Amino acid sequence: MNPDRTRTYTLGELVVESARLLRQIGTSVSDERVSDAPDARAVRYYQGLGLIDRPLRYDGRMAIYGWSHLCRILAVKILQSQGYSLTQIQAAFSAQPASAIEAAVLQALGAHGSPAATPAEPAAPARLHTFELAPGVQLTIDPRVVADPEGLARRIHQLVQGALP
Amino acid sequence: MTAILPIAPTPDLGGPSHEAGLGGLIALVEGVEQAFPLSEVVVRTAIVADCARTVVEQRFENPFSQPLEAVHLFPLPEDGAVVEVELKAGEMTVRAECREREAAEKAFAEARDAGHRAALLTAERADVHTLRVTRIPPGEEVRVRIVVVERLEKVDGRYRWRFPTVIPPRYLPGDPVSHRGDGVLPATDRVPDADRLQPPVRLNGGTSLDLEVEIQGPVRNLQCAQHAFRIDLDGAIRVAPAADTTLDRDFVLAFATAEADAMVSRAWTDGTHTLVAVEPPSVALPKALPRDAVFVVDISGSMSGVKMRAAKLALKSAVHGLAPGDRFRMIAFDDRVEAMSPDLLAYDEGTLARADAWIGALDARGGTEMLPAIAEALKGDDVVGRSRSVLFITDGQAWNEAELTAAVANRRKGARFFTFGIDTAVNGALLKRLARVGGGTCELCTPSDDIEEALASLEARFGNPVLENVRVDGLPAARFTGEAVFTGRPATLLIEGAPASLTVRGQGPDGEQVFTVEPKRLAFPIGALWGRERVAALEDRLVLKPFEEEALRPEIVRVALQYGIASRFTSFVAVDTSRVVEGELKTVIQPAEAPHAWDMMSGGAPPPAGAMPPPMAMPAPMPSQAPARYPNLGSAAGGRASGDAAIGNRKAAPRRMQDAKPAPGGVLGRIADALFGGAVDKESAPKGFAASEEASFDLGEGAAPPAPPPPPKMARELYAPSPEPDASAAPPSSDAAGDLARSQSADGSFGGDVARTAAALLALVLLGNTRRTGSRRRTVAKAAQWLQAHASDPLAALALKLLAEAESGAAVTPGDAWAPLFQAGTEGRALQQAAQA
Repeated sequence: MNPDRTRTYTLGELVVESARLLRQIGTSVSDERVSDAPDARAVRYYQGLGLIDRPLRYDGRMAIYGWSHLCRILAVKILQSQGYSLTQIQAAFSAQPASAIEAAVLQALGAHGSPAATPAEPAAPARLHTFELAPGVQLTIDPRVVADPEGLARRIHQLVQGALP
Repeated sequence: MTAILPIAPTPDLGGPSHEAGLGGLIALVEGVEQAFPLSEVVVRTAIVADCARTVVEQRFENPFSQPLEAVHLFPLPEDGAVVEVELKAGEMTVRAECREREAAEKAFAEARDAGHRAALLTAERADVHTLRVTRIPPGEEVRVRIVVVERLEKVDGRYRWRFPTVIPPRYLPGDPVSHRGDGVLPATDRVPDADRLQPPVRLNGGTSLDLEVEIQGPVRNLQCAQHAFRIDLDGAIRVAPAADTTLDRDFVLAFATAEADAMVSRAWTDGTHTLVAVEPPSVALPKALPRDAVFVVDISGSMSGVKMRAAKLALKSAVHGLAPGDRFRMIAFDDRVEAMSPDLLAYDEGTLARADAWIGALDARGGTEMLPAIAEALKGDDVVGRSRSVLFITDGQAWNEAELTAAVANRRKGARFFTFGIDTAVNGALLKRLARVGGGTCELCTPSDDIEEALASLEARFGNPVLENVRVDGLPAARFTGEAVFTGRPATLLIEGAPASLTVRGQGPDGEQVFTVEPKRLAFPIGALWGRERVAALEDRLVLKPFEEEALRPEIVRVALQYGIASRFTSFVAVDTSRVVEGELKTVIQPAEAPHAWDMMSGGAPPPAGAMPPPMAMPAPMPSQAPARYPNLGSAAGGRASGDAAIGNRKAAPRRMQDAKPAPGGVLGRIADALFGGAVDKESAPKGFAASEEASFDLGEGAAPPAPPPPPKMARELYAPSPEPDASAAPPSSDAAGDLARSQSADGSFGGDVARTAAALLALVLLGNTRRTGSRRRTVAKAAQWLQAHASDPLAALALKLLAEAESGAAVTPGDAWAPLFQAGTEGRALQQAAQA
C-alpha cells in the first residue's frame, strides 16, 4: 500500500508504520530476513540530530507526526541499509529540498511494488503528479507548472469533497 | 474515505532510476560535502580595565540553488549585553534596530515575504541567542556583526574572560506541551521556553572560529585553559588560539594586570553610569564560625569521563578542607538523589573515611534532575553560631533554570549556596544565577584546570562573605539588593549617575565599613551594562514573584529599549530593501558541535528500548564514516544499523565498521529518550507507567527506560573501599602535595603520629605551601595546629620552627636533624623526595 500523505501518527504509530513499509522494501531485497525498524528512541534521536522536523503538533502530551516525518525515517533507514552513515545523511538532508527527499522515498516504495503502489497510469507523461481524490477519481498535476502540486491537490480535494462519490 | 491518496509518482522524479528503486535517495547523498550555512565565526575582543567589548561576526553561505533562511542558536557571554547588530553583504551594511520582540518578528516576516534580506536576533536566555538570517541569495554570503559588552570577573587576583561557543545538549524535565520554536526539544510544563533553546547536534565537522583578544596594559600570569595560544606583543597584547579551532568549547582566558594587582576598590564611568569594583578589605578576618557544609555532586550521564573524575577530586578536596568542629553531608544526584547520610555528620576520622569511600564509588549515570537535589541540600534550619553552606558541583547542563533559581532562593533561608561548575562548555548562566540568588559564589573550571587549587581558593570563601549588603550612597544600583564581597571575589556594582566621588558602604563581621572611590573616565558603554544588569535583576524578580509579571514585563521591555539591548522581549532586526531575492525559501537550522571531551558523546546510539533485534546471520555492513574525533558516533549509527542490514544488502556497503556491537549508554545516542522521556511507545505502555516515563526529557542523558527501582538508600553508605582508585585523575608522582592532603586525618595529623605529621608538614612546605600560601595551605594549617598540641616533642617543635621561618620568607633547607623524619612512613618518603627535588 502507498503511504497516505494526509495521515497523522502518534510516535507509536509512526514506528509501526515505518517498520511495515521497511519490511515491504526489505523483503524484496534481502530474502527471508527480518528487517529492523526504528524504535521510539531512534525517532527522537533523529529529531535531536535535526534529521526530522519537530512534530506537527501535540495532542495533550502526545506528539503527532505526519507524512514528512515518516518519509524522513524511511529515507534514513534505507540509506543506512545502503551503507551511508548518519553523518552523510545529516549533511544530505540539510542540503536537499524536502520535496526531493519525499520524491525519492516514494520512488523507493513504488519500485518495490506493493500492489497498490503499481502505477495506475503507466502511460502518464513522465513528470506528472497523480492524486486519487476518491476511488475512481484522479487528479493529475504538472509540477513544472504548479509549484506545490500536493497543496493544490489538497485544496481541490477540499473544494469538491461534497461532490465526490 | 475522503483522504487523498497520492498515486505512485513517476519513476524519474527523484533522479536516475535505480534497479532497487533507491537511486533517487542515493543521488541525494552522493556528492554532498558541506551543507550547513554557518561558514565561519570571527571574534575580536578588546579588554579595557574591568570591561570587555566583543565583536562577533557570523558568516553564512548559501551553497544551494534556492534562497536560504539560516537559523542559528548560539551562546554569548551570560553577563553580556548585545548593543549593536549589523547585516552585511558585499558593500551593503544595514544597522539593526532594537525593537519590541513581536514588532521585530513582524518586520522580519514582512521582509522575508517581500524577498528582502533580513536578520533577526533575540536573547532567549542570558546566554542562548537566536539569529535568523533570511533570503540569503543562492551562492552568496551574508555576514551578521554582533557587538557584545560585558564586565569582567576577577577571581583571586586574576581577570577571567570566558567566551562560550557551543550550546551543549542539556537535560529537559517536564511533560511536553507544544513545539513551535526552532530547537529540537519541545516546550514542557516545567520549561515553557524549551522549544527555542536546543540546537540539533552536528555529527561531524565544525565551523571555524577565528578569535583574538586584545588586552591593554602590562599583563602577567596569562593562561588559556582549553586552547593552545599565541601572543603578539606589538603595542597591545593580542592572544589567539594557536591552532585551528572550531565551536566546540569555551575559550577561557585568565590574566593579571596592574589593576588586578592593586587590590583596591575602583570605579569607572562613561559620564552617565558608573561601574564600581569593590575589593575585599585587607583587614584580618575574625575566626570563622564552625560550618555545616552540604556537598552536592552531579553524577548524571553528561558528567561521565574526565568531568566525573574532576568532580570527584573537587568533592574529595572540599571534604578534606573541613576542620574539626565542622559537620557535613554529601549528596549525589542524577535522576535520583542519594545521600551519604540522612543528616549532618560530625567531621572526624570515621566520617572522613566513609566520605572517601562513598566518593570513590560514585559513577555517572542518568538525567540531570537538579530540583530534588537542591531541595534535599537545603532542608533543615539555620543554627545559631554555625554557618550553613552548600557546595553544588555540576556541569549545570539542564534547561529548567527558572525553577532551580526559585528553589534556591526560596529554600535557603540563611544558608549560602555556592556553585562549582566543571565542563569544557559549562552552563555559566545557570550556575552564576544560582550563586547570585543563593548568596554564594560561582567558580567555573574546565576539567583540565587544577581542581585542587581551585578548591583551595574556594575554601577561603566557603562560608560567609567578608562584606555584605554593599551599596553606594544615594545612587540607584542596577540590582535591588546589596552585593556581597568574598575573599578573593570582589563585587561589581553598576550605578546610575557619575559623581566625582562616591561612598561605598558594606557590612563586615566587625561592623560597617565605609570608604570612598573616585571614578575614572572610561570610553565604554557602561550604561548598557547597567541596563543588562537591571534586566537580569528584573528577570530574577520575575522568577521569584511570577504574580508580578504584569508589572515586570513592561519594565524589562522599557529598560531594554532605553539602553538598546537584546532581551527575552526585545530583538534586533535589520532589513535590506535594496534587493529582492526570489524563489522558494529553504530553511536550515544550523547544528551545533558536540562539546569537546564529552564522554557521553562518544557512547553510541540510542540503546535499544526493547529487545535487541535477532542477531544477524552474517556480519552487517556498518554505515559509518566515523570521524576520528568522535569515534563511536559512527557506531551509534552502526549499532542501530546492525538490524538495518536486513533492509537491503544487495549493494556492497561503501563503508564498514569492524565492531557492530551497539555501545551502551552513549548519551548522544540517548538524545532519543531525551526527546520524549525515553518512553516506550505510549500505546503499549501499561497505564500509569507512561506518565512517569514521559516525565523527563533528556537531550543526551536519559536513564535507560524503564528506570529500575532505586536501590536502597543505604547502599552507598555502607560501601567499603573505593573500587576505582581516584589516582586516575592525577598521577601520584605529579601531585605529591595532593596525595599528602588526601591522606590527612580529620584531626589534622597524619596517622596520629608526630614524626609522620612533622614529615608531611615539611614536605608540604618544600612543595611551596605555608599556612597562608599555596593550594595546600589548609592542609598545612591543620597539621600545624595538631603539632602545636604536641610541641613538647622535638620533631614537632622542629617542624613548627621551620614552618615559621618559611612564612617569614626564609628558605628551608634539609639538615641532619631531619634524619628521623625520613624514616617516618609514607610521609617520610614524600619528604625525602621533596628534599631531593
